[in-house]
Amino acid sequence: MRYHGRVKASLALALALGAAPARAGMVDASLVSSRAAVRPGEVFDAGLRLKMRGGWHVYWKNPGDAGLAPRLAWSLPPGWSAEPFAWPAPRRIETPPLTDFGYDGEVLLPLRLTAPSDARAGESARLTATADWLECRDVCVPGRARVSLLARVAADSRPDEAGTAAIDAARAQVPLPDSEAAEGALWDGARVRLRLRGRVPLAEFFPEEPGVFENARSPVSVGPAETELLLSSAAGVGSPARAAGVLLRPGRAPVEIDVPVRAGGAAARFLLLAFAGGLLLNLMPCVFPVLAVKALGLLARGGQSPAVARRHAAAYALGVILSCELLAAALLVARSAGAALGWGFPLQSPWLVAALAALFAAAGLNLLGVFEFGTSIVGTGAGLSAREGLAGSFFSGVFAMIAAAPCTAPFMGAALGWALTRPAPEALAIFGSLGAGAAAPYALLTSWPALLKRLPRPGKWMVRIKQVFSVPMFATAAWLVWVLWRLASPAASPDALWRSWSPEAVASARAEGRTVLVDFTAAWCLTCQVNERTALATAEVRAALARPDAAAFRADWTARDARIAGELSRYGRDGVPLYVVHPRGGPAVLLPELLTERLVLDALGAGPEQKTEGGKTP
Amino acid sequence: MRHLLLAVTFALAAAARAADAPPAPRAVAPGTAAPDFTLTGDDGAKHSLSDAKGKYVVLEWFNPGCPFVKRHYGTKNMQSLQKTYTGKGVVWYSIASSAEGKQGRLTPAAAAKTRGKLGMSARILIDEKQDVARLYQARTTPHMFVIDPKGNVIYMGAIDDLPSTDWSDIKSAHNYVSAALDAALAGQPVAKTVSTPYGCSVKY
Repeated sequence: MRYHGRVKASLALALALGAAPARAGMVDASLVSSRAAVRPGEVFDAGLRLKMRGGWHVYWKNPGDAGLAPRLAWSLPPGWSAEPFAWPAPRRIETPPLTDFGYDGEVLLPLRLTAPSDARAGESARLTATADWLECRDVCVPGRARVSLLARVAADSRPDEAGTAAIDAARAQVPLPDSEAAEGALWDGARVRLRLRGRVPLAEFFPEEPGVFENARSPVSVGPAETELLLSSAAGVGSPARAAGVLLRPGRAPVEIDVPVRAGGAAARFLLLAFAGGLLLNLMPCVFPVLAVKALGLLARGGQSPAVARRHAAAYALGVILSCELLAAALLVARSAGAALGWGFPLQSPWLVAALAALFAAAGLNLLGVFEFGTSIVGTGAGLSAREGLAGSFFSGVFAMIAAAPCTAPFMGAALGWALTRPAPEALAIFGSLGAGAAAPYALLTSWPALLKRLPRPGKWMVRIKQVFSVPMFATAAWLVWVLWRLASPAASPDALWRSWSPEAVASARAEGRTVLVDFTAAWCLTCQVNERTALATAEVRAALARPDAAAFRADWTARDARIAGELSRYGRDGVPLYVVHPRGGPAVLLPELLTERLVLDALGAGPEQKTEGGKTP
Repeated sequence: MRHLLLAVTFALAAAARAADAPPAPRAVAPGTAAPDFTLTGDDGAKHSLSDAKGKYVVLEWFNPGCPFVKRHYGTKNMQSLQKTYTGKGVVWYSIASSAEGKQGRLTPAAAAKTRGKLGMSARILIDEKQDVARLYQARTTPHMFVIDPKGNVIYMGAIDDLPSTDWSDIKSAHNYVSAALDAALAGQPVAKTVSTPYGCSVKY
């Protein structure tokens, strides 16, 4: 290694005549004009063209983790002036763990020049500049070249066809401000959630300023109608004040966005999400039978006074909320000890699964009237004749939450995942809100006197209904036995389409340029099973996954697995299901907890919209 | 009662079977403890960050082939910083993290040669597997960290405020590392504790 002389002295220092390219290192630099002749006083388009050899790249205005943006220093004749570059949208240049923003192949950085108003027709001016850039492949080399442009002044402006076309193409890639594209940004204590209009799973954000956000492509969380980019702030800085940068969406022109980041309000939002998740939990197959049986209990107590009914409602709600809090406390304690657990974790223990199977079987038998519990833990069937005590209501709340463990309702994943990153009081509040949501429908029903009056009279028909509802109880028990079996002998996936997950396998499939879908699942996760049968097993989805440029992985969290838990928490989740799509060259796209075939196909880029948009990004 | 027992079992099952996943490494940030490491130096000896407890430490990510690094060594800027502050009892480690086959990969013997040729007062440490670079999320050469005697990061980021490979403008740059060290050594708070590093990428 020698330091004789200056670095730049070792580089080609070429003086360009006309617009001939000057070559330095692996880059040809030249100035391009949109005009063959300019009018006095005319403002016209020009640009710096950088043509790179294979594998080399130059940088965007924010170079990313490393690098340096190109610069142009003019030495203009008197009266001429030049504006700074407009920057076409860059692309991400990824050399894990680093991410840079830049251009490869060829780029034209447009700018505007102004001719002096007192220029005379017939004269010409040589507009000269020194271009500086850093070009990198596996190593970096600074490049410098003198570039120039001969501008002819005429009474009438004349376009340069080739130059105009090249500059227009570059201008089309320069993002324009768009106040509509982003709906808002919220700091959730760990990252900025940038909310975008519409479902745009392949959206990509390039921060305007260095050192504000992490440069690696951020995960995208898509819902039925909205999209969130999950932007991490740069190491060592807290909540960014604004989310400003370039937004790329396939098939659309790049846009510039600049939205203030709301720092507060995350807790309120997640409390609301948790409550909504809790409400929806009532409709999930795990909880619904329990709830239906409870409704029968309600009928049985039809004649009781509103005050008594309200006490029962409160006892039930207390049961639900307390068991949520107990679960949260357990999770927090375990997590602080370093264990990677999430919603549904009790089902990762064979003993608890066995106990639950027995419990559900007992509940089923109880409904059939084989034996009675009295004021039992289940509290479901017994005491229909208005003898059920408050303890029964309380424990049926507990039972409803135990039954809920295998199910994940929409919104829950995000809310609980966030809760577990927060200090204990906030986390407990989120779980409490989930419980409140889960308890709300039944509690409201119970304490609604007008409704109570209109309920049908209890009678023999209730016995029949009880018998009907014993079926889901037995089904659950049978299914838990299957879970137990799967816990004991984790089966290799019998399906050739689904490979077994490992971070390395996903990385290598992505490196091969494949679109990758990862299904984080568990045998005990009923929501997962439903999604796998309804959305992931359709002929069209299977066909999309079977394409040579796609790959499907299944990460089975039936038994505990620290690697899977770690991957879940990377995406801000605490449990399964989680569906992550890595579109070819794209970010991680998180799909909602309840899948539809359309959603999956869209994210895989197999939807009708995206089929025509391949290779649109610059 | 047995109902409560069941619920409590849930909690205990979680707590009892803890610790199968190490907590994710926290990002290095100003005001937090600098993670410890042990690396082999150009002298062939092992050097640990924790050995330097009680002293100020500078970590400089180093790749002698990188034009940004050359700018600071070619102008003797880096050597003079190293000389000044090691003279004041500061420990200065220049960490070479380039992967096998990449630019800037050094063996201890090659590092000793480079150190002599460049006239460095800093010790070159070989981060053979880029573990320390990952630990500190080092992105560029140079990427600077200043650590106080208690082992906390007091500055991280660029060496100065002039991202360039130009040798002529180095005198006009404001050096963040010397600003941080001067303030800290004088018992003053460090004004700028974090900046965006610039340079070549660390060759992972």
